[in-house]
Amino acid sequence: MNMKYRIEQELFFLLKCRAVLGVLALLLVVSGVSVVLGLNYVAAERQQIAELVQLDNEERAYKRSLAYDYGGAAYDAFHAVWNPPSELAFAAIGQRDLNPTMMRIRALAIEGQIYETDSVNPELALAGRFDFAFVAAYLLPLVIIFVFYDLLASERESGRLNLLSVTARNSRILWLPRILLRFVGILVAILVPLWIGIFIEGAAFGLLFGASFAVTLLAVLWTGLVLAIATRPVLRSESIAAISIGAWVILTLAIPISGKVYIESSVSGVKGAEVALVQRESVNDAWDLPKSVTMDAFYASHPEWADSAPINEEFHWKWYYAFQQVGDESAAELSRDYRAIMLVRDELTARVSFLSPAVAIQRQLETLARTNLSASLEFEDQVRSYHEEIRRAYYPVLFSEEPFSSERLAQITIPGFSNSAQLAVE
Amino acid sequence: MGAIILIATDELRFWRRSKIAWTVLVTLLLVSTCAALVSNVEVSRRAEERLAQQAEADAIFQAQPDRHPHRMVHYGHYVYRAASPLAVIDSGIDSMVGTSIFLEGHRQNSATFAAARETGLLARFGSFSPAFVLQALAPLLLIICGFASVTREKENKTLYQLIGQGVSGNKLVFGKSLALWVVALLAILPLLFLGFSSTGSDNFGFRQSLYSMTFGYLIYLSVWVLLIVSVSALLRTSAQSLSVLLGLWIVTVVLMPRIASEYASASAPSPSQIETNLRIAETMRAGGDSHDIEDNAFVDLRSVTLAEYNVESIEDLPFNYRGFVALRGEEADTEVLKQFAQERMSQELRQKSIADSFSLFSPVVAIRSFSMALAGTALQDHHHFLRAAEDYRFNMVQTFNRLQMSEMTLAEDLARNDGDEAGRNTRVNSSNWAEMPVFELRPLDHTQRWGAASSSGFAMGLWLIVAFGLLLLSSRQLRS
Repeated sequence: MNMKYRIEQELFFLLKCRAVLGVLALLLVVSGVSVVLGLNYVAAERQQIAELVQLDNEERAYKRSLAYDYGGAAYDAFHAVWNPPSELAFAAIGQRDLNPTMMRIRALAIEGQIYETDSVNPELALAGRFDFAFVAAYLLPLVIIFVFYDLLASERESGRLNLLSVTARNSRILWLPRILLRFVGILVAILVPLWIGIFIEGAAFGLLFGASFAVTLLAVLWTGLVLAIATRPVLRSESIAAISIGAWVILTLAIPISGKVYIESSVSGVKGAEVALVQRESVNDAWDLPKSVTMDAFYASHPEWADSAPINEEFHWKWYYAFQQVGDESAAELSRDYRAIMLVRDELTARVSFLSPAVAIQRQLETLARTNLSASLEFEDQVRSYHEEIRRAYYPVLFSEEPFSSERLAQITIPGFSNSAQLAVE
Repeated sequence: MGAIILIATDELRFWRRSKIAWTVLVTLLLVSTCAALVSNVEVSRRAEERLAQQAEADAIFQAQPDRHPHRMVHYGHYVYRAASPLAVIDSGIDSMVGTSIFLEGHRQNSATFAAARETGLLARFGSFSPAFVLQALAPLLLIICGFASVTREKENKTLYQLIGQGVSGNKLVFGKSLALWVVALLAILPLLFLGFSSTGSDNFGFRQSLYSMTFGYLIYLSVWVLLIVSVSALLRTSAQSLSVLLGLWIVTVVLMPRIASEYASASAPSPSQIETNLRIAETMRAGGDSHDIEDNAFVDLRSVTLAEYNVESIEDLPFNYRGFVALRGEEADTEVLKQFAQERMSQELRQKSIADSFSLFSPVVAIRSFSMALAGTALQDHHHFLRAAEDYRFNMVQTFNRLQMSEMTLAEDLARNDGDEAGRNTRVNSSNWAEMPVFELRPLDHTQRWGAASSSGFAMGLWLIVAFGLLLLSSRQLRS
């Protein structure tokens, strides 16, 4: 009885085992559906972004045609920013549905603009997405449990175990082919749709390898766990199934939820609403403060305009944009703290992922797909620096108090938003 | 009846001896109680946080100095969404939606700062609430308790003894169901206690909602009990029964809610916020800029108003015409904003009803929707908050616009930027801000909550009938 013969033999057994084949087919279908849904999702996002960019340009050009002063032109000029899905985003949509994928920002205080969210139907969002990461985190372990729980017990309960053990030269040649074959079957069923998706999206080989490796690791882990339970000779197959499901509940539901409760109750600090409130207060207070207070604060951070003429009027656009900027500066520390808290939560989530493979695989896939927190914060940084570019573009005409002319306004050009993720798509 | 109870007590006695069943029972009660306690602490913490934030925002608003009323229109106000008392049982969409809205003139902001966004990845793994325990975990534990309830008798060859002694198939399955049902009942108790303590003194019928909700969970778990015993009676071996029941659990509890929401969002896609904002801006452009009384959009308004008061020029009107234009402008803007908001809410409700129709494939989809609606943490409650905030916003802005109309003349208003003295003339006493009524969200009442829950309740009724039918069918099979 050599290995090759045994594998052929097991393949024959497997093909006759309807229950296992059925579950593998189901996994293939479910994984396929998740990939199709993910692909549709990112396609719809790209479509929306393309439409936005078009609409945005038209709207801005129209507004600019109505302008009669520089300050007003800047006030009305919204600029689109967007965070396009990466080539692997279809597999792990992550928090993309809650974080804004696109915004329109203008030269006013950024803290008042950056927390706007896109419209999501909260009741649909609550259920979570049916993406590949979900299939890997939740269903893959369940399929593994189903395929392996009665590997030994079924033979024992049907009375064949002793006979098999006697005929086989060693237990390795008896069990290894069967385990290996089923394991490969599971991997093929879950990964092939992913590979097709990656091929369609044209993602790099590194991503394909990374995602497949993570899924394989998860599968090895669960197979090991289930086999460890299943090979306990005292257990009946029902008990093995019940214990494995218990392990699944603990690892996939109980630990993440407890982790969430722990994180939410232990990490408290700046609330987003506070940042917005502080910025708002600063901007509003400025109307009642002497103009020199605002302007001095502004010139302190923008010394290049410090020799701009003093303001005698009740209202001046350069003062208006100065207090917007001072508002941002006054909320900057809170804003940084707010981000820092999110990062602390993320760090704790990383620790939870050591205890829960479901959290680990989601984190890993979201990291590869750039749909995680750091990608979202990176987008925020890009928006902030683009915002700076926008406001600084208007400062020369405002602070040197150039008389208004459409020709001069036309010279103020701000290149469209671009980000690294997008370059990777094209 | 006696035979049914006898069988039930016998089953319960068996569980007491069996290690697994005993572990499951203890786990279920423990988890259910812990969830109640944790959820109580968590939800009250969040509720207090929001109350404190609202109080802070109110204090800051009321402490504003004398100001030109239109400054206050742009200064705006923050309102926070108070939590429903039954959120301790089912927090529903609470963490998915923003907790605060900034209210200002000329525009409707969205609710921002959803907890889920701040929590990150773990937000979607469910919550440790009595609702989650009862919806997802209790059925699983009931399965592990009951999958072998009838197959065990078959495997031990005791089934035919029982039938030989004159126990009918019906009595056997009813007895087994009764035993399992007692477990389900125990699991629901913590929910009832918790709900009872958190709906102490309210006038919005949350107590009634709690009763309806408890009844709903009773039906839901009964459906599972009947399904479990039916499957156990229909199949030959315990192993088969277990795999079928686990498969059923995976499909209905893990898969279906996500499939339902994916299907709903794919079949009725909603436009992005930006696209809507652009459309709003386009529609509002026609309404004119109410800051500018010379705007062409207000030509008609001017002539009509002059004719109505029978005066020659806007200076002769008995009120400040700038304030009047602001008032009318806000009215027109709000009309547009409301229309778009309504459109979006209807779209969301349409998506929800598509997702809810999956109740026919999974009792979990039904109970989720039923429970949220009665807990006051569903989509319609969020919409109710949005509407209340919008009404509050409109009244606030119009109060300021009326102050601008009555507290200064047009000449004073136009000269507001000509030095300190002129500026002071157009400032309104700060007592006006302090007297503004604070935002108080009156929750929907029980009838409205019940109205939103009834269709899912109906679906659960159907499931109960189907499950009962299956049980009768399975008992017929036992006899042969």
